[in-house]
Amino acid sequence: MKLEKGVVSNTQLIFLIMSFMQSMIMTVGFNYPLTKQDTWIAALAAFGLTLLMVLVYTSIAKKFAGLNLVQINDEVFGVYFGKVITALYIWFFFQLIIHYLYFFNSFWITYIMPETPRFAFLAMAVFICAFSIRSGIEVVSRCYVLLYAAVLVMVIGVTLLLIKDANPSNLLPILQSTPKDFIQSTHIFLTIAFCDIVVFLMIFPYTADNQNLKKPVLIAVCFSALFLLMVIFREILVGGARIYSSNTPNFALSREIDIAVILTRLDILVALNLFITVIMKITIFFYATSLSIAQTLKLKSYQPLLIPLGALCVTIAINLYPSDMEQFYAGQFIWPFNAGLMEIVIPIITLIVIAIRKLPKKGELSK
Amino acid sequence: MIMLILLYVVLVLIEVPGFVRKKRWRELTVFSVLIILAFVIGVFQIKHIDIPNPVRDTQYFVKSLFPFGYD
Repeated sequence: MKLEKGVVSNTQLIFLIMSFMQSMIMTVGFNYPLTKQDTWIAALAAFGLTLLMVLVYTSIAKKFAGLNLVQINDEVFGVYFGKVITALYIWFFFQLIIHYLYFFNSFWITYIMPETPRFAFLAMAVFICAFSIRSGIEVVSRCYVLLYAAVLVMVIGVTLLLIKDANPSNLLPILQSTPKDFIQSTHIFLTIAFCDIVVFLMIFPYTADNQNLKKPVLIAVCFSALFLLMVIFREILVGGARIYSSNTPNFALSREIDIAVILTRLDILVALNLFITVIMKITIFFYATSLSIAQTLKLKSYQPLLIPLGALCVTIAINLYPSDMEQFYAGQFIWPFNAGLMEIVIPIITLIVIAIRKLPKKGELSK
Repeated sequence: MIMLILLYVVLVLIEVPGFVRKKRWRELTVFSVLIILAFVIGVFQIKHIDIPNPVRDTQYFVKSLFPFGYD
């Protein structure tokens, strides 16, 4: 029994991963207070570690081609303990939906529409996500190419408009941050920006060519990292010390654009940008959550879960934190550990168990 | 409060007749459990009763399992 009938081609997979990782340019704000002008070095270090993790994910996916994360857990850890790991993953994906919803919602309410009740944005965002995955991952992957192009144009446009204000001396002094701050910043980049792609273990089995996943995933991660570096350099070079305390540096910077007093107030572009990127991210997590619940409970399809899950997301995300600063604190000090457990520790343990048990056993996968 | 009940009635009416017609009792059970959970949390929030937020608190719990931290 297969829950998802759509097929994603490998080119679409590249765009799907790139649009999924796009929201990393919005969460850079967690890193600036720690490493300031050395943030780009931390990003590079995290990128290097991510390449290793990508190899881990793709080799798991290649060993069990055609099986998604839930089935892999059942095969590797046995039926009962595998269910425990699966439950942890479902809860992890669900937490990510809630955190991104709250992040996007608090930004939008603080800067753009302060009078609107919190419920309104959450309900609309969840509705868009649920509606788009109702028709399956194939449709999502096809139409998100367009949204990705829109985000790309916006980010590159803002960069080009800001380039005249760049001040190279903002990069100095180099390597001033303490080792502890540097490690923490790398950890944040690794868990929040990059290694979220563990969720694609739910999508890899629905790709057209799931024997050669390494190439498309690596291409997508490299392009995303290049993009992230561009944004970080832009923010450090143009903003300098002014943006290190802002929790939305991207937005703060776009208010600086001033081309002959005509082209000003482009900040709404960045706000739209954030909206699109977060929607793309939530959609994938929503899909993974509903698909893995349906798979675990042996339902016939995942569509019936979308409405109740959406309602649950809205009610929990409405007052996740008492204030935005607490989310900022949690993003820096609490979440990296929580995510590191699910994104780094458990996949590595999975790979070790696969090696010890010499899985997959011959003839077992074909059934 | 009335708006909340109306909203959930609409949500239930969208999906449940389909399950009953196709005799999908398993889906109906999962649907009901999740939607009742969402409804109860919603009622608590409208009445301003403070309940611990599960998503916020589990991350602090997981963090407390690690022997080291950055603070």
